[in-house]
Amino acid sequence: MSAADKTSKKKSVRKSTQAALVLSAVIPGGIAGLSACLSATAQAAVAPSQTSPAAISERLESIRAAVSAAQEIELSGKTTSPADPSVEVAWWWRNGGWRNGGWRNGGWGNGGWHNWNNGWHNWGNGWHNW
Amino acid sequence: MVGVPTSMVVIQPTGFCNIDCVYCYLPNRSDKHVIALETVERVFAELFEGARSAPELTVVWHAGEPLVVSPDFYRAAFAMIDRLKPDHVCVKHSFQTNGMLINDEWCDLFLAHDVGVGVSVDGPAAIHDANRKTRSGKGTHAQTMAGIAKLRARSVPFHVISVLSRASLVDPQELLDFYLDAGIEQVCFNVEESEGSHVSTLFEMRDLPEAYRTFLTAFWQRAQASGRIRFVREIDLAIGRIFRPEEAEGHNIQVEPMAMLNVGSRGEVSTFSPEFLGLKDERYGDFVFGNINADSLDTIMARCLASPLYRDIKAGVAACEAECPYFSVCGGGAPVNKLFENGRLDSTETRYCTLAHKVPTDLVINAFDGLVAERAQQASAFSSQREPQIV
Repeated sequence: MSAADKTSKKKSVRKSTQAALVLSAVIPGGIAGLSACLSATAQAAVAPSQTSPAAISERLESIRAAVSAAQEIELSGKTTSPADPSVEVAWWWRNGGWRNGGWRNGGWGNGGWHNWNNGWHNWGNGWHNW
Repeated sequence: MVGVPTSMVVIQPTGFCNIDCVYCYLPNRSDKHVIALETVERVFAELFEGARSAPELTVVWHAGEPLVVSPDFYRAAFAMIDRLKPDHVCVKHSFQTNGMLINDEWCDLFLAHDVGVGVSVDGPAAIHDANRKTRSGKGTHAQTMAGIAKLRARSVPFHVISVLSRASLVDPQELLDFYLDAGIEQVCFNVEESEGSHVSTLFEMRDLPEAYRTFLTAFWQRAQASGRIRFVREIDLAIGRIFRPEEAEGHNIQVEPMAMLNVGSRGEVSTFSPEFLGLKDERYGDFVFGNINADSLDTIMARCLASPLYRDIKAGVAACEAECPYFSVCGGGAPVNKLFENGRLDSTETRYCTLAHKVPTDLVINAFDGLVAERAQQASAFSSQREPQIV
């Protein structure tokens, strides 16, 4: 592996770890909590024509890998320990008061991903999401 | 049982609607026939006896104005369905209504049966009344708002579906102000589509995706900032589809045979996109696979599996999976939109796909990237503040 490849791989691993840590802190807030966080950084998104199809697929895959990793962090309870420097971001954030739900007690495990289209667009179909 | 279980039943209690919206896709909205309770009984007896129902079953009374049928009809239907259902199945009844007939008796029914209520309202009067009219051409906004006021007065939870027009797309703040003034906390947007005989003028807009992206971004941010909008369907469902664990599976119930069961007021049974019911096409006929008053669901399912309709929908889904990077958030799109936009079910992308899936997905992913970068920056600043100062 070339030095450039190694640097690129390190960056990628670091980015995905950061994503998992951020998610481990926000996912307990459920979909409503994540929506609140994300709205603050939303901007007119990059138009699909400007992003390659492969890049979109990769982004979705990497986000889901981060969700799985975040789920493990959440279940292991690591993020509740401010003494662990590896989870500093998540700890700092959680102390900011984001926690208002839970994987098992919020909008996630109880709706959300198990139906792709989640029904049909002429019905709001949100009854089990809140 | 073949395929995925049925998780949604869309029942047309009557095709009749008391109003005549400009963009309506329903061809039989003057037909006052009301579904017989015996027909409803057949649907659910077949569904439950054949163990075809998912553990959570949503029953949407729609495809016509459901409130033109009496509350007594629904009381009887709900009681019958409750008697028929196995203990492990949870049935949630839902109405999509124009809200004009809502009164205390309806609110009593909604509250007693925990009915999900969706009201169709497009925004302030000028926007709403441009499309949602009575048969004599008058606006319906005032009566819809009276219905919403009644729901609020009786503390009945509800959401609204607003069809976005050119006028509403350019002014998200006006729409948000309207929702806030009306005490509306849960909103869903449908961009006006081409379906059935209706051809959307909005779809002619060349920069529609960009306009919708700008609208949705601004609405989302302002709605969150207001602290009073609890649910924006386009964003919240996109989040659920994107942020799921790797191992979680998804189903697009519009492309799975009988995952959605769509029943017309005379017992005719269709599946896939509910809008198919009542439409006709030279390749697929009337999209109906049987009549529940005469046929078992097994027979209807067998016809569906052998049909050109299913063959072509399946081909379209396979093409989407092969070509589209958004497949994992969508699962193959909405067949009705493929047919009416592209003229073929075995096709792929539609304008509807772009608006309903691509735009929200891009928006959320982009926001997440921004969030991760922002938090990393804050953590870095936090770490450097804690480092010992060198004097």
